[in-house]
Amino acid sequence: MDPPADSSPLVGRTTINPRRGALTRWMFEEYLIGERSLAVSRVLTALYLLAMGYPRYVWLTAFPSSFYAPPLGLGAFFRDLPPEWVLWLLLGATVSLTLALLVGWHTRATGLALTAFTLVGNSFEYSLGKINHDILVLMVLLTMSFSGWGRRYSVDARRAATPPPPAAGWPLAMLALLVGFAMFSAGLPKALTGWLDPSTQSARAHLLYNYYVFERPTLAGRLALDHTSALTWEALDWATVILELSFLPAAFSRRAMLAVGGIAVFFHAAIYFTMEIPFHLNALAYGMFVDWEHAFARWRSLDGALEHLAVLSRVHGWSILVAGIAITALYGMTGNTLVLLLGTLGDGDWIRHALAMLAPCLLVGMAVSQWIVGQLGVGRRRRRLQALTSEPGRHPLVLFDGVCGMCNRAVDFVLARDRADVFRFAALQSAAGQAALTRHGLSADYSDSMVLIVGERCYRYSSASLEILRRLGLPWALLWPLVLVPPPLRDLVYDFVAAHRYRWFGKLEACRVPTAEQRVRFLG
Amino acid sequence: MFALVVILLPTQYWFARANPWGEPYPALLMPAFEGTQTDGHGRASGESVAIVVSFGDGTVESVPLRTLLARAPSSHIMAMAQIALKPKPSPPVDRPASPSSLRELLKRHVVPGLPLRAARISYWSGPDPLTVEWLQTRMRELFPGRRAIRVTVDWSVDTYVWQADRWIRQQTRALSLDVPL
Repeated sequence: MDPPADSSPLVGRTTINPRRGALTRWMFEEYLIGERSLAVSRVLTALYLLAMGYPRYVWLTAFPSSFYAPPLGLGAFFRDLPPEWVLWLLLGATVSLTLALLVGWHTRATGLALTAFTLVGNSFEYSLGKINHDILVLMVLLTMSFSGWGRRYSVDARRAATPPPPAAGWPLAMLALLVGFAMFSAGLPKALTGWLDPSTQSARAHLLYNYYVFERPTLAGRLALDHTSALTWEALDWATVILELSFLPAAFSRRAMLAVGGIAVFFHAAIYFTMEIPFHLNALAYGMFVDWEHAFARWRSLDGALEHLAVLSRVHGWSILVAGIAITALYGMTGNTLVLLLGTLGDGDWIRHALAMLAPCLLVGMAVSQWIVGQLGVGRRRRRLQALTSEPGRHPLVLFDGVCGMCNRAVDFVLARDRADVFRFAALQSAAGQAALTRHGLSADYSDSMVLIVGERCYRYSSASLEILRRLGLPWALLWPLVLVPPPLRDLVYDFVAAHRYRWFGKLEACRVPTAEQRVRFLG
Repeated sequence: MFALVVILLPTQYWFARANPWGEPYPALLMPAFEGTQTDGHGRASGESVAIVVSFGDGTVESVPLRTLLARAPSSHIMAMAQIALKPKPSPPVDRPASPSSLRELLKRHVVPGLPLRAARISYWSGPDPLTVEWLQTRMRELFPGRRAIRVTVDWSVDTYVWQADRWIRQQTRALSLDVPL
């Protein structure tokens, strides 16, 4: 049952209090993902900012102060745009801090400083009458700075003298809440201002406006305007509102968040290719919830290379600063280098944005394909072969309350339907059960729910039940989409039944003794 | 902390919509894209701007707004044009508050950007001399060797109607700004 030696520990895996309520479990456990996945998110964020986020601020020098009309906020404390050198300083600082984030140098302080500098720079940039709604970038930097995303693939991980700060699971839950609310703030006004009125087609109106007035004549926009019926436009209006409003309830389940975010990246891509409004930074925020290690099986082949990147040992603060100044100077002379390179193929800026929109779609497409293949049985047969030819620890392990009448009936239910011999079982009170509990950060007297351990993952409460049903195949797997119900809600039902299980189904004097046939499937 | 966030988020949403200065920054808000709608025949309307430059030799040239404000991000250009190049009502003559009131002192010395915003977004006292100077420089950059004598900015309301398998634009001239250079 030992997880692979190189498995990434769950962040914040201190002993989990089994008595926590459903909401507390959501805050601290729902969004626990591996350190390596968090580190991938950090690298992706930094690369995204370098490719898509800069150069900024210095363009303000091209305009006089008569354009200055700051919104309520930091910009309101000033009468005019700052001098040119301040704007260059802001650009240099943000670029240098992004480089520091990329290599994981004092990652938490770097993330917080980058948040602060970006906030200041944005406050001036958005003082010319238009606020760009890229606030999620700041939310990502702010919350993820506390997530432990600098614990792998980083300079911090190499610096024994200053070990990275301990991490926690709550920052991702907080980010989910913030993303959920942000998207809700887009959907609610739409719902209240006529988007759901069958006599209007608001999406078409916005496309018209962008196409003609904003002079963004896209090919996809032209096709959509000329060949889409009013009924389809109305359906799009409804789909838009439903999608945006669904982020908030989805925030209570990482899986639901990924599902809604996965749909949204295609939605954002469609918006870009029809209206040239690039919302790829939202895809970046959704990407924070991805467990990269597990979403893409091939990830592990890259892991070793990243973990031992020799260059990380040689990075110092001054070298980051020098590189930051050099890149800032390059931006000053040529603009964004990526745009310059892509410009050899056509409109460099358009291609850059298009790639940023398509990349998340491609990743979602790969993940969905992988999942479908698994569901169709190709992956299951392969896993079955692996399970039969490898150690028993490869089997999903069901830990159940050995003296609970209901739990024993549930085990009988699974045994009768697990014809593929997928599961192994152990009572929570057994030595094997206790060892597994301890290994996964649960206290030895845990008995609140059935536990399912798959590799290094640990499912509890309703999540464990649904995962077991999924692995039993059809027709039971049809119940698995209930995972989209936020865990705090479905766990309420689970907790209620679990609290009354002894009264309703009885309590045994001792743990069950498996039959001779079952013995191979029960761990002692 | 979660409880605080759950309370603060709806509060800032309400504040962002209710306060008289418009959307604050930073605020955790996404664009609503509300307001503009079409009927079942696809009729939609929006504001557009056309810029015409007159030269000393009697010729004229049209300049897209994107070209005039080329260094600004495309997301900003319409908003910037509305601040600096769009005629608006004149500012109110009589000021209701005393210049020495706390509110006025705060506005003038602590958040001077807010009255500036109100003055530039809501009111108009003719083109700002700095804007005129900037337009002169910009014309020299765009048309080197030619002497631009006037920039005319025409604001219209465009309505698009789907007729006979194509979009028809009906343009209604709304405002015009003449800037002698």
